[in-house]
Amino acid sequence: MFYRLRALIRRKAVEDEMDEELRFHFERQVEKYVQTGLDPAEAARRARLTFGGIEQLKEECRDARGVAFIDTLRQDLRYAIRGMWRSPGFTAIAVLSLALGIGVNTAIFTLVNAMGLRPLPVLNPNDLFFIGAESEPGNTAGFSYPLFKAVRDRNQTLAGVFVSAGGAMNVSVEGGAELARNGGLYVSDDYFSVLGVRAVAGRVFTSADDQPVAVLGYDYWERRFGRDASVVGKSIEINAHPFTVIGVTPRRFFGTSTGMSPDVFVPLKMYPQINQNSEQFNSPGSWWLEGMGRLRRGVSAAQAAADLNVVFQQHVIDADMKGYASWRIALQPGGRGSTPLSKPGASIFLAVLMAVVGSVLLIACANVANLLLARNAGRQKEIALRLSLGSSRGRLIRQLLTESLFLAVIGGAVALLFASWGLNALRFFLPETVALDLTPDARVLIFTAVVSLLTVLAFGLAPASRATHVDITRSLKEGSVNCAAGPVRNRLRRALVVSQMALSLMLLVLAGLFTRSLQNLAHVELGFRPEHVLVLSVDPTLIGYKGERITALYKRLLEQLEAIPSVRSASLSQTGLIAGGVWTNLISIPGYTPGPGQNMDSSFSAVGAHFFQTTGISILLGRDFTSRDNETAPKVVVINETFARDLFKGESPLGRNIGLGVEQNLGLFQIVGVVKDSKQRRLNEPPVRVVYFPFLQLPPQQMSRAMFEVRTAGDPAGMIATARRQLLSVEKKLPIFREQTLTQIVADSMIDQSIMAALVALFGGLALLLACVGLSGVTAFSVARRTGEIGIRMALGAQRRDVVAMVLREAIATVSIGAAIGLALSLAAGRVVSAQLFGITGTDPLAIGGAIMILSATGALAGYLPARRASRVDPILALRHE
Amino acid sequence: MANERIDLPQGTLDLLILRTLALEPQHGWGISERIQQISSNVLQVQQGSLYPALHRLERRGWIKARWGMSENSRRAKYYNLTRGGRKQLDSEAGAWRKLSAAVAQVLDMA
Repeated sequence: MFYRLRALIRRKAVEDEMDEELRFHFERQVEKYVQTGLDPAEAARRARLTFGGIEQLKEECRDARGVAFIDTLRQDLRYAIRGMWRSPGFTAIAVLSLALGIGVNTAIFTLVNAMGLRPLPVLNPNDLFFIGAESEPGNTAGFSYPLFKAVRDRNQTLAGVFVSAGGAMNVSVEGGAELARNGGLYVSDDYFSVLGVRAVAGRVFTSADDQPVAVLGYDYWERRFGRDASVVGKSIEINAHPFTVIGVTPRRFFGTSTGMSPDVFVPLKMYPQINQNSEQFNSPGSWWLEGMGRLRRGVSAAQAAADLNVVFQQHVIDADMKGYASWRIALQPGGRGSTPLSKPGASIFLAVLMAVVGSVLLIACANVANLLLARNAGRQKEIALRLSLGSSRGRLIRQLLTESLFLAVIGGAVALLFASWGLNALRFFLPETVALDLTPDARVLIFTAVVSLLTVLAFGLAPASRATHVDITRSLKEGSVNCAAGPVRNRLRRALVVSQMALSLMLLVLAGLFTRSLQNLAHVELGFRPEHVLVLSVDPTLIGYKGERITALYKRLLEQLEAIPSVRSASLSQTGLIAGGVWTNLISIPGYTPGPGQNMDSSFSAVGAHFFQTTGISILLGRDFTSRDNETAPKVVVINETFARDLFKGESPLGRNIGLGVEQNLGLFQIVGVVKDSKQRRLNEPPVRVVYFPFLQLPPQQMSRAMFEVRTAGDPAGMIATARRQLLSVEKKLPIFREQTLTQIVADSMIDQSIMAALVALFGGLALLLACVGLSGVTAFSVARRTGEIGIRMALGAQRRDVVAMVLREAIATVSIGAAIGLALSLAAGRVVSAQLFGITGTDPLAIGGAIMILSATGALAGYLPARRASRVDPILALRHE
Repeated sequence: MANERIDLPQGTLDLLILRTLALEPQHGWGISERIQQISSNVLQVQQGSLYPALHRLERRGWIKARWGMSENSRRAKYYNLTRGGRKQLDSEAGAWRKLSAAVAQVLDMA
């Protein structure tokens, strides 16, 4: 060991010693020959002959010493660096190609990792399981509070268990009103102790806390309090009740739901005190809680499930819940939190992205392989020389692979940089409320390293093994590039470019499909006019308003909004346009018998006076609501086109009555108008029935939050501050939690599709660029090889035009074959993503045709540049060269 | 006379080097000369195998190198046998004798 170390550390000294030893031997040999009577020159010649290759001998000595491996690596690396330094263009393109290819993969992998591969930053996450009651396997309902208490007190298999529920929380610091943007989380007392999460400032709460206390999320602490530790101990108001801040959770702890980041954690037992509708709290049939438990050491999930089901069955009997006897308690691994990856939409989204970036990487690798092939072809003579001087093939392959490895390592390092830039840019597009930890962890670094190493195999192996198959005598005898081992090598290079073209076409088609789908979505008939409309959402129930007080408050708020000079009209609705949930309930029409299997339900929307005028929904028949449609006026409704068409079949619905709710429990209403269809929840939904009724005619107990729509003369975004001030002048603590233009709300609803289209288009462009670099390189190479031939042709009278055409024909043939293969790939890919598309199929001719045109045009350009250069060949020079 | 020189069978070079060094510390050239002399010019050691063998033996710890003055007062690298080397020599020499005796017996039969 010591010997090896010495040999490594004192490499120089050891080398010198070896030189001296061999020189000594050589000189003694010469002396010996001289003694036998030879003249000194002849003696030296003879000695050299018996000695053989001195370098080879030294090499064998190094091998024998066993440090050869590291030594050669060092040598090869130095050689590689020197070589790359000498051809900076090659190095830059190769490293850039690899960095882009690996970088996009790292970025998307980081996203996937953050969304669901990364374990929760808690104690022993693998012991955690989601626990919930389910009506049938897979259909989890969750926990009721009484069930939670039963499980907590009677289980034999859990080290700890907690439940949680999200909720809107209006936080008020020093009297001002503000809403915790990301919402709060009600958690049972043992939440933090079961997870093993400690506070970064102050402390977390336990079952010993019976005062109203709150723990802040790190992000909220940073955003709202600038990480001021003195906030611990301060009093804040949550939903108008005083709470004491006792601590802050660690950075990167976002609870157990990936993508969410609660701003405030509040003990669940405080829930009834700060919520109006708290009947669910103690109801055994109300499954509003999410449960998680930590298994005792040595207990399996199956054992725990058996134990918990015993508890559950007893609870069903105790709480007299006969209907739930068939339900079961199920456990799901919870160490990674509940992840959006388990939702089918998200996983297809990410799978498509992974496939896309994988293709980009393949294209990049093909590029580098092509560059290496060309470079090695140029080094043919050097390689032949080294082989003839006694280098082994293995040794040469190793050296060439070391070069590739070096490229990949640098490419991978630059890729990490690119990925972090890309993710920063991506974060800019994501809604602010999405909390994802996108810092690279060990998993991301390993992923990048493995991908980088795999690329070496993908792009380095074939060129290296090919380069060392040379006909030594021919290579040494003949000229420079002309001997590049003939058509075989060029076929490989062309095959690489063909596959690049094919993959590029597929990505371009995908980009076209997603872009067209997004366009369709953006141009969909909304049914309302979002321009000039501002939307503000308020929830006075969070500060203790109930029933008729809410109605009165809303009237005053509307007056304040209408008082703003630039406001054309203002209205309100219980659910919003596009954003927000939809209320669906049963309807009935006196004298109408539903056909067999006919649905008698509809979306319900409680709206204020002038709602249709304010939002720009066209009135087809009848009238808009007015302020006279109040609590005491006759009950009236307005229906939409689809409703009228479905249930009144061309008769005029005006003046007809319909019953709302189960067995008309909301009352009988008269139809006073019909309006155009408009999108309710999503832009890509089919038309649905909607019945609108006056907000003021809602039963008082149904009064809750509302959205105010304000149509302005000018830019609605500029009105936000004024509108907010007007609202707060009525109620200082009013929780306002969405102040957005309707245009923005519509755009936000397309966020998934927008990100997808933007990313795939970006990657498609990147792929095309890389592929064109490849095509251009191969064409240039082929031109260089045929310089002599081109010279002869020109000497025999060929025009420049003919030469350009000849070279271009070859390039276009490559593009065409690639496009043909790519077309088949695209059709397959189109089928896979067809469910994600809106308004087009996966075989949309425009997307495919467009992609083919873009590919052909850029391909032709990439071929034209070297072709033009070829046509400038001076025949005399070219022939002399030959 | 040159025709009588034979190439060394695989693996025997190490044994010869160890045996030579058992007499006295010697440098590379001296080892090859000594083997040639003692074998009456039958065995000739090529430098191409001698030096890698020396380095290999040194790595295994059977010989040790130090710099010394040669007969004609020049610096030369002298190798001498270590204790491990001597043990190795004994066992290999024994094995070799047994082998060659057995081979001779087979060849001389009938």
